[in-house]
Amino acid sequence: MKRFLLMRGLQSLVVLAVMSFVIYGLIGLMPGDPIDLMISSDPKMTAADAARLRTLYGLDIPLYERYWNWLLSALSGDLGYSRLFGQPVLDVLFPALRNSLMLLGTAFFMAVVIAIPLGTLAAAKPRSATDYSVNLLAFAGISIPSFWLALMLIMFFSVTLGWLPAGGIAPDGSGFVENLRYIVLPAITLTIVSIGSYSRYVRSSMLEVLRQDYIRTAKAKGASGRRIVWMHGLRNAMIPVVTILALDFGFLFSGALVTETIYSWPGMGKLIFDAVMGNDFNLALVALLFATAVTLLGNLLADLCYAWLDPRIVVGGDET
Amino acid sequence: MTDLSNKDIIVSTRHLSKTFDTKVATEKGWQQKTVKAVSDISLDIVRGETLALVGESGCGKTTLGRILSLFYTPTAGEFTINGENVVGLKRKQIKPLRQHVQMIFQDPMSSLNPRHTVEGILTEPMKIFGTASAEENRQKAGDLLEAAGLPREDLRKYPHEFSGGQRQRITIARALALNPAFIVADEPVSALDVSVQSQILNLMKDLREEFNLTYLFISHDLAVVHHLADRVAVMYLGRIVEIASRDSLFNNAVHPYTRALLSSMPTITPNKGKIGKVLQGDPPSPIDPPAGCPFNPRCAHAADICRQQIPALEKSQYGESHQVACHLKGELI
Amino acid sequence: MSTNSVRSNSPFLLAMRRFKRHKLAIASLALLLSMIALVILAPLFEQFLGVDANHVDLFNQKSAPSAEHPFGTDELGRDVLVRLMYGGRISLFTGLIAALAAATIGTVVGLFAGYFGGRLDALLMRFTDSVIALPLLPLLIVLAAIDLNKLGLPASVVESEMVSFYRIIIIVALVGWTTVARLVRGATLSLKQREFVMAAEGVGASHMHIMFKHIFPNLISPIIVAVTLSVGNVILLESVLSFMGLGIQPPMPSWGNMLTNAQELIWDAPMLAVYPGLLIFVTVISFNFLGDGLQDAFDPKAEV
Repeated sequence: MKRFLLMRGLQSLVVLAVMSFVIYGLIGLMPGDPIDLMISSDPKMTAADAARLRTLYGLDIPLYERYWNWLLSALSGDLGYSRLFGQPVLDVLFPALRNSLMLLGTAFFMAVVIAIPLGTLAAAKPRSATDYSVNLLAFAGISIPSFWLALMLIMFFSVTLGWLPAGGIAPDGSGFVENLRYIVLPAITLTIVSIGSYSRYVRSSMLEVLRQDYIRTAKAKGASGRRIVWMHGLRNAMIPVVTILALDFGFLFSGALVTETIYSWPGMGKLIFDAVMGNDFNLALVALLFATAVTLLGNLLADLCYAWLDPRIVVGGDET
Repeated sequence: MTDLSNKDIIVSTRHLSKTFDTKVATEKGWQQKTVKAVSDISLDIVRGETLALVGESGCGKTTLGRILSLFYTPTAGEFTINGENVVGLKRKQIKPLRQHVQMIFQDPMSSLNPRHTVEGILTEPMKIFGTASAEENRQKAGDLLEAAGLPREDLRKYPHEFSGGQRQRITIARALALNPAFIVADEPVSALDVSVQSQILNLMKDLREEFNLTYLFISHDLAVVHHLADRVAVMYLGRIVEIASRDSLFNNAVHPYTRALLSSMPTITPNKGKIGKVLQGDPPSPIDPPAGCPFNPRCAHAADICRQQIPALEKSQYGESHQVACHLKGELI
Repeated sequence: MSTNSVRSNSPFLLAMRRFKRHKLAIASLALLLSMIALVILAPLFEQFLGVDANHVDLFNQKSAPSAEHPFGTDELGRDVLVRLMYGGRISLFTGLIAALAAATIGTVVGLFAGYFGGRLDALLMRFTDSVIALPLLPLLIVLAAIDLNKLGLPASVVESEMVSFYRIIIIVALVGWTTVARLVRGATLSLKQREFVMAAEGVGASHMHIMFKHIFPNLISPIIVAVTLSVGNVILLESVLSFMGLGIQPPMPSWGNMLTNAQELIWDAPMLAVYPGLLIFVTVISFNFLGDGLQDAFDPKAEV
């Protein structure tokens, strides 16, 4: 087991390292470089000046060297300066991270709390009206474009009803209710989409478990039908569900990007978006790497859950 | 060895062995183990004969069958077909040999590609090996189908439209497509209903005459074997423990294992000769074979020498052609 | 032994018969087919109504539905109905092509990994797992934001109208192949165990022959299901990217980019924000229902 942990952890690190190079290269391919921007803001700059500045900023050395220099600085704690915000990157990153976690945590919690009973209900009565309605709702959840859902919610609750703000985050020091007003719509948006996939996972996981023999045995022993479903089935079905949730947390991170942008919620997603669109290379690079690291971590956790469940997967290598 | 020097030998092996590496689940996690599926098999198969290979599941008969039909490569030993060496050949070199040896598979439900028509299935080998026209291939496919007892019109049907017995006929027809001289039949009737089994066996008999085929007939059903075989070889834990002509084996079995098998058959009628819970003790595992004679843990007569030395396959008191691997042969009643 | 009627009983037709029992899937199929028909006919509508999808008319912005413009006009005075239809063309077309491209890559990877096993399998699957573990949207955004000039492409290509179209197909295919790869690998592994594969080897078939004539035909059903189910996702991805200005570039309309300015529009012309999104929603959910129905039809034993 320990060996497995080590291998998987190592694999994640390798992927992260490779991705850091890939992302570094991709960011370099983004339009404009700092010198071009300078030129456009100072027409008197000559070609010679531009060339000199390029050398000064190290923009004329090959990609590998630039990457290596960046890596060395990064590993020693210097992650660069954000052009858009005029602050060190990390100073911008951490508040954004905190905001994202607040939003994601809320949405995740709500989604799980709603999806588990829904999925279980559907699994308890397969092919019933309940099952079909839950299935329908789930399909709707995974089919709806999140940005459009956000727009519709804003249209209804902000524009038409005027109950909730159309975006932004509560100013520092606001009370609980004030914070709630700002977080409600973005959280609901994320929740609706997540419920769609979670409830289907829960349903199929429960169906799988309910089919197993020991449930039949328990029924034969006379425990009431309902009790069986909720006690035995739920406990065992939760294990693969927990796994998938661990996996999804990583995806939630990137999926929230659009939602944050629409609601102007100052989280990691919006940060990435603003950085990329604003050609803030340093910020974009670090933020993207961070997102990658978080997603990889989510995957690693999910793999650990799988391994914990079924030790055969651990050492057998690649099974079917 | 049996003296077959004046006979036409089609398949010959000497000291053939096959081991597999596998992972076994233990408390410590997975461990690498070696499975000795087949050990020290020396065999000569005469052209035109039907040699039956019987034994419990796990005895290595399927593995041996797959080696002889060129699906597995032996780990050690010699193996010749029509006098030509077959060991150590690459995939490309093996391909032409496939015209000489074909296999009939056990499971009629999975041995035919559900997406191909019968015609496609039967003409596939022809297309791979020959350059005849589509029309000629179709003609020949129809001939094969009829030889197997199905109407020519069935060429355009799909496997799922047939019953198990009919599918097995198609499998047999396919095996004949390349005009092989040697056919390995791996439990060809075990998955079929009793009523259908005799039909297929009779078909195989007729085809044997018609095409001068040599069969290696693998089965766990002694009654079926009695129906079809000229010679019978009994396998246990990867080794041949007894080999004799059919009548000699059934009437004069020497090896304790063979005798145990036969004694479980009240009468020789189909389906009653199955090797089932004949013997006490656990079925053997080819991963950790016992020292000495592989049968000694379950043998009522086991002596010290049995636990120490592996007996060689040698002639018995009944002659050169009836061979036994037992230290105590001749001393048992 | 009975001889059946003349009609062929291929496994595919059997599945089709099972499919007919799924009313929701049939309804979705009907809806999608009519939608496809409609968007193909977009030029006819243009002529019929006498409007041009790109004709800007600043005197007629955000107008209500009228005889001339059945769905009104957008913020630049362009006819909404026709733009929706052209947008549908692009969105549907992009979705299908990108999904197929992703499926092709995934099939090749999964087939080779599953068939050959061993080191190739381990390598390919590690790679697949790594791609799956990456944050999807952030990466797509970066990929979409790349300045093509810097890649060394000639200016004529970079400026061309179709480039945003190709670009989005490529990047979606680059990240979307993993689901199909895993699916195909699993299916290949189990198909390899079937005796007909060994039988094919027994009659001298080469590896390529077995992979493409025996295994692949049995993969088509799961692949069709996977592709159908992925079209929905691809359409969502394209619409998100176009919405953010990174996908299909105006003036070429797509349902996504028709919503780019929606946040301002919801204040005084809300319907303009509703139509494109609604169409995306309906299309995606139809593809999902269709895929679900196909899955049941092809493999009734599998519970979703």
